[in-house]
Amino acid sequence: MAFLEIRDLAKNFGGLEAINRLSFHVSQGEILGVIGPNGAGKTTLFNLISGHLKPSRGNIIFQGEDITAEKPHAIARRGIVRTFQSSSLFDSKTVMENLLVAFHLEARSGFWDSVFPTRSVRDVNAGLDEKAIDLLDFLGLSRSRNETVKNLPHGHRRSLGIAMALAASPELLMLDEPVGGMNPREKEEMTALIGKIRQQGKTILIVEHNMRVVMSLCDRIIVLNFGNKIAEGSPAEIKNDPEVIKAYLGRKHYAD
Amino acid sequence: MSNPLKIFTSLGALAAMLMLPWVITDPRYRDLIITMGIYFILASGLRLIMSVGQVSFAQAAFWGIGAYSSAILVMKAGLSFWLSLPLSGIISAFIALLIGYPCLRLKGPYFFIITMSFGEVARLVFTSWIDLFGGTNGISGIPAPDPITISGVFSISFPPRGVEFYYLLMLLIIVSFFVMYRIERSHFGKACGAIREFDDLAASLGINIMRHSIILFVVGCFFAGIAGSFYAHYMTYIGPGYFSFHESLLFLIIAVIGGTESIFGIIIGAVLLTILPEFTREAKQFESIIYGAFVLVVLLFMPSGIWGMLKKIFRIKPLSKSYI
Repeated sequence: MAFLEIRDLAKNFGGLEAINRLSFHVSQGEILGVIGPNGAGKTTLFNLISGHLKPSRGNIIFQGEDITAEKPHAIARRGIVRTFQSSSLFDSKTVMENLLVAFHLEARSGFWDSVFPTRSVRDVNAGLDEKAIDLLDFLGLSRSRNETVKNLPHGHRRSLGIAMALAASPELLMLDEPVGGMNPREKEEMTALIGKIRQQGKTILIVEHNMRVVMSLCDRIIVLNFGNKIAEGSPAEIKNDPEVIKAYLGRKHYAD
Repeated sequence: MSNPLKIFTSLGALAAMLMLPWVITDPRYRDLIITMGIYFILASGLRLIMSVGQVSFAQAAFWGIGAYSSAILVMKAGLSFWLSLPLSGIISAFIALLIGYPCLRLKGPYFFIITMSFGEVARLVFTSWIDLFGGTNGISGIPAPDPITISGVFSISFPPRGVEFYYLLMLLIIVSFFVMYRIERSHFGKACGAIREFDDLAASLGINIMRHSIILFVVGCFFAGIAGSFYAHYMTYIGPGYFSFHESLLFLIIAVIGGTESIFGIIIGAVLLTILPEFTREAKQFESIIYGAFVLVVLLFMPSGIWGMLKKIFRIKPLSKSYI
């Protein structure tokens, strides 16, 4: 049984086929990369899996259960957590406040818990402060703990976005262009970080433009073009696939 | 309550509330303070749903539902006020649940418009169902709350416009303040703020937007119903004109002027917007102009309300740091 299985997935916006009868699977513990030129449907695919968009056809099966019709919060509860491409965060809050909200699934955060916080509610929620600090250490963000998020440099915003996704204790982590807009040093740090997250046993689905990062991180790669899967295989196979070279790699500026 | 500053502040506020009737003895001013208190409960209930970024324009309608429910339960069903008070809150909350479930799927202006329509429908029902609600004449002769008696020890009765009403209202305010403050400081409240700021991200972290919105709406309307019940028995007369969208607008202005970020903003808003008309009454023909200018100035220069500005100027930090 595949960990995550996408069956015949399709999404059209009016006449435009953003995703066209797409099928693939993600195995537990691997890093699967999804690449493709702009407008290939990568972000749409993410939005479909995370429940932010409803597919026009097809099914999404996670750990043997059909999650196609579920709402985003329910999908997160099952263990599929994503980051957002624009690294949008809760900008008016501090780093720590952002991260504490991200521990929502672990917190005792019901209405009655808030009005009548019993000892056990207080204990569980106080424990989250420590967990949040540990996580900030892991991502190298502990020094900007009390910084308002809108003042953070781009690289730190990306890291915080990933920290927040990790706080929701995902089994499948979906990263939307994690090194987009980063300078070479930030890119290197982020690549190392994703490697570290993988060592913790997380399965990762990654959408990325940067070929070097994808090639070095991923076990397998899927190539999308105009909503269709044009290739699938190991990084070495993808590099030499004529179809891929024609659609994508041949264009020099993507090779970076 | 481990923080000494917090205990000190709470006791100080409580003492001030208890002493106020000795300081302000003029019944006209006491009446004003009671109005202030009712506005506070209603605007702070409205603020709850605003904390997920939704604006309801039906708060006055739920206030009216509470007021009419209580009057009918006491006068037609013969219930005691002390039973009808919580029941009016529950009836308002129940109707809010029925309305909120389909309507909170709508966002922003759509939710605003549909709650405004609901407010108008409620007013029309009060006006046209004459047998039950008394039509445009409303319901008069609503009895005062039954005296509370513990035989041989003490007895509290509620003479018309008596100071006893003041103390009852303060009790209701303390309960609602307690609930609102706890929500604000809790993980539940922080999740609501997250929904307002970026709903897609909040959902992707497992926060159930619909569930949070409905709880806030229902709790806010529960307190509106309680305020309505108190109002009906304090005024002894209610009519459909009291619960129109002008009142809903007033509660919205109180919340926005004071600042929706914190319950303390609502206190400031309720005090100012109750006192302001008293001052402008002197200059009758300029009343609306002064009022409008005041609202405009606050909105232009203090986008997060008066509380937001004070917080910035004095760098006010919350009394306790961690979430509940």
